[in-house]
Amino acid sequence: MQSKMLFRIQATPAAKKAIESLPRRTAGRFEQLRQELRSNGCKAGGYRLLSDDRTTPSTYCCKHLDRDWRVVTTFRTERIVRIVAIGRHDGPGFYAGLSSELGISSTGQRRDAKPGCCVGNWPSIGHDPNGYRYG
Amino acid sequence: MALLEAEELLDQVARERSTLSDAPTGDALNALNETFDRIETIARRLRDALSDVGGVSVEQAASRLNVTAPTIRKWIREDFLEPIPDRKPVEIDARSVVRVERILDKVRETYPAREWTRALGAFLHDRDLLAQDWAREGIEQAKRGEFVDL
Repeated sequence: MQSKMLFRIQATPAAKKAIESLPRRTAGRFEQLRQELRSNGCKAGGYRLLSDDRTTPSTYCCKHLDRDWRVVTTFRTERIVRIVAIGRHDGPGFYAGLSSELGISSTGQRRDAKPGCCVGNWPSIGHDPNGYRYG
Repeated sequence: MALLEAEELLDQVARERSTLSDAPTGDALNALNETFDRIETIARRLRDALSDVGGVSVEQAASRLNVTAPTIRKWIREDFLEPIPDRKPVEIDARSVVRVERILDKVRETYPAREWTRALGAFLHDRDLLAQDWAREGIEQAKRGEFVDL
């Protein structure tokens, strides 16, 4: 039987430092995620974040780890997962602020209508000058 | 507000010109490019003259972008809008107001009326997430290619 090819996982020094100081429960969740990323690559990466200056997808994905802990990843090639950053983001607080700032109801505005991390087969086909690969 | 109009005109000329750059060459195209050159020159003079007077006030930016003044101040703190240094009361660079206006317009154009607020919420959420100190530090390291194996 042919064994499944695993993804290589890399992290920035900042992400590695954050991983080493995660609270116990969150560390357990991260270990689960690491195994999923190793087996499934971008399929385990959560959702694709939008770019900073337009409404198109960026090269970063976000996975909700535990409570308000978030993991930001990117994919250099189809077999390498790169963990860019790990930290806490007060999503509910952010959405609550929207209602007062823009008149946007905080109800139903969760980031649920979002593209998958592998949308358009990213990162399996296509190239950009920085070496990232897109669908 | 005249400054904003001049800035928007310059922005629009740049956009039209980028569309033209993909078109086949010809006399008509050359004439159009020359027209754009003249419009751009006039708009730039107008913008520069108005810039000497100052930037855009918080209230003017709020009116233009159809949000409240506190939202404008928040966007300044978050570097979404760019204040002109050493101005009291606060004045905002007109270019950043036009840039934000384009983003809001694009969101409204891209999504149906009932969904654009959701799309804007998503855009601002992701922007907020990636602006966190921990995310910025990681992204900077990633851009420099600093990775270790896990």
